[in-house]
Amino acid sequence: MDEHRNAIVFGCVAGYMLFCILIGLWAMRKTRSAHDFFMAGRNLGALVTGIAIFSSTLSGFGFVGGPGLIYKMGISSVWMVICTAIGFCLSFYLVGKRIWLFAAMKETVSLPDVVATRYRSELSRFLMALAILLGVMAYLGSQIKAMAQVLQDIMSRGNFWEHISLEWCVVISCAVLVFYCVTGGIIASVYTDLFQGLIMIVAALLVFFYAYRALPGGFTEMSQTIARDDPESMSPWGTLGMLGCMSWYFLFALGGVGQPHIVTKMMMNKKVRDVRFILPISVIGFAVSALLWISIGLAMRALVLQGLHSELAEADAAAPQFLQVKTPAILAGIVFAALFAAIMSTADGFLNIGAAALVHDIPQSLRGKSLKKELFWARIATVGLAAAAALFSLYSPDKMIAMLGSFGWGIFAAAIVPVVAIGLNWKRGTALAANVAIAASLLINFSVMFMRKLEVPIPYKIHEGAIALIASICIFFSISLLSKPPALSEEVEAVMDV
Amino acid sequence: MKLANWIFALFLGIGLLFTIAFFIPEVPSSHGQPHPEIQEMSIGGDGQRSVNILWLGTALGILELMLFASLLCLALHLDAKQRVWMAAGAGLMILCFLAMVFSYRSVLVAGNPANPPIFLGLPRPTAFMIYGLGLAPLVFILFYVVQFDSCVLKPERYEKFQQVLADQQRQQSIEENR
Repeated sequence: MDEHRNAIVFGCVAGYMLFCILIGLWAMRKTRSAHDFFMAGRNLGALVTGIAIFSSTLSGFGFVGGPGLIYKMGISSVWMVICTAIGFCLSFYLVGKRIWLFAAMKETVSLPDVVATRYRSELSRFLMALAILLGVMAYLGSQIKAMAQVLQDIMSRGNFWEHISLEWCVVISCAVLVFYCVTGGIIASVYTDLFQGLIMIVAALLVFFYAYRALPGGFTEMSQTIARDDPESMSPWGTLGMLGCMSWYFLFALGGVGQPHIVTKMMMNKKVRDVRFILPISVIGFAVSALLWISIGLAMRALVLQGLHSELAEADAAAPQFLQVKTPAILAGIVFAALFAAIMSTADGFLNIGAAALVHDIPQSLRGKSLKKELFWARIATVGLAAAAALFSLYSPDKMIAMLGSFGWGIFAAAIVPVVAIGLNWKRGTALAANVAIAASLLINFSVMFMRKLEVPIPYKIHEGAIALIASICIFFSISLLSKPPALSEEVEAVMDV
Repeated sequence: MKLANWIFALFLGIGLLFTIAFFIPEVPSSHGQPHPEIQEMSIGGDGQRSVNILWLGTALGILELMLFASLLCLALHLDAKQRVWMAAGAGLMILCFLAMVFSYRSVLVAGNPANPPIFLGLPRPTAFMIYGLGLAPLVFILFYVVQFDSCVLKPERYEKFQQVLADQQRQQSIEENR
């Protein structure tokens, strides 16, 4: 079977893409209005929503960047995994029920809609839509580039198209993504997420088994090998150190509540009571999928230290190399399909919320009404956003794309956590505080990006996103407490009293 | 003290601790250094690098865990018994965190960090981190599932919401008919 390895991997990826297209065609028949396009008619079951939420959370970073980080830094990046359970708890406790009730009360189709209702401010809606749009553009570019690079690797290795350019790979992968996002909107997105999430779970379980068997002594031997070379790498702080790790734990646990493509999905379940089941489903799905992240990283670091594998040219090659040499062809194929699934399930969510910001929220905040023929314009906006992000990913320097990917995450966390996670649960939060916090989050994140570009060091590698998040939350609290308590409408009172 | 004010105080405390870190001089390898032989791999070097910031990191961890538990409570309607459950969940997380820190310290003090005691395939401090701190929030997940009707979505409060919703819809349909 191994002589056909590349053909099998290519077949699995092509099969996966075909399936996404079929789901897009199926979902097209169910998408009749902008409400269907953005909110899936608010008619999803607990299982579908739960798996869609976890698969959107785990982007391509979890499948490639995560193992690479463990290879490079030891245990440090595991903090991004162990914060998942408490991070999901924060998301569901703070937002899960409340955002659903807002959606039921005002038939909202986006997060800025909820923010405008809560704070009775069109400026809040505009700023939130702007923050989302900036974050989406920054993040989407990095996802599209990752997708194209993986496709290029698969196509050229399999001799299907030996010297295929990155441009063609961007075109092919974006075409599939855009097709199902345009035809089926969020309905296609969540059902492909369901399929993508299931692939990720199966792939992670199988890979964990092979990683365990990579050395005869299993994980004990891996731990001992790594600790003998450098004890700190296997300590809880890894090579990053204690303060860096604690800043990651803070940012990734709390910042998860501010990811709009996740939070928006919490409005889409049919019954509010379903959130009690969606939480455990999401946590279990993510925890199982993250086994791949930890197991491959540890196995590859131990294999290289023992001299059983040549050293890697770049840390991100840890997962592809492991799949290449340590797993059967069919599993490698499933995992590569899962990798595409991880990237696409995040990217489709971004496309949808970006389109909502463009055709619904920004016109609503500027003109007091959204566009006519909203569904038509939403489809056009989806294509436009994908094309812009694709061009950006192709013609920007690699370092810039990675930086903007992190910038996007930082914007989401700093802008959304205070305004949505705190503001939906604290009646004292004011519109002025929300507006200043969103504006400050943009300003701080831009400053941090320039500081990073100038290579200004932050002591102990404390994550700059954690600093931005604390700053915007403190601004939100301070201004709210210093200003007059807001007068809430009867509807908002009704939602916040539940 | 109101819960929201307490949460704000915790955020300020965390901000303060991060600020203090800016004034503690870094030692070599405080955030890792390149592996001497293998490119694209880094090492942490001497464990002594953590000694002068161990108190700061521990305080930061405890404040973060208290903050997370307090934020969870912000969204709930808790009675006295349920508050005890939430406090127990927070206590469990802090206990796991402290067990991780102290076992890490004891490995350093024992002077043989290259051969740490292993538990379920991982060095003991790392096992406390992954199996302890990583899994402790399951208490909150279980709490959310089991206590949903009594503190997340109380039926009487939800009914009131539905009444307001129905009134609003009635009002809307009257306006549309006009």
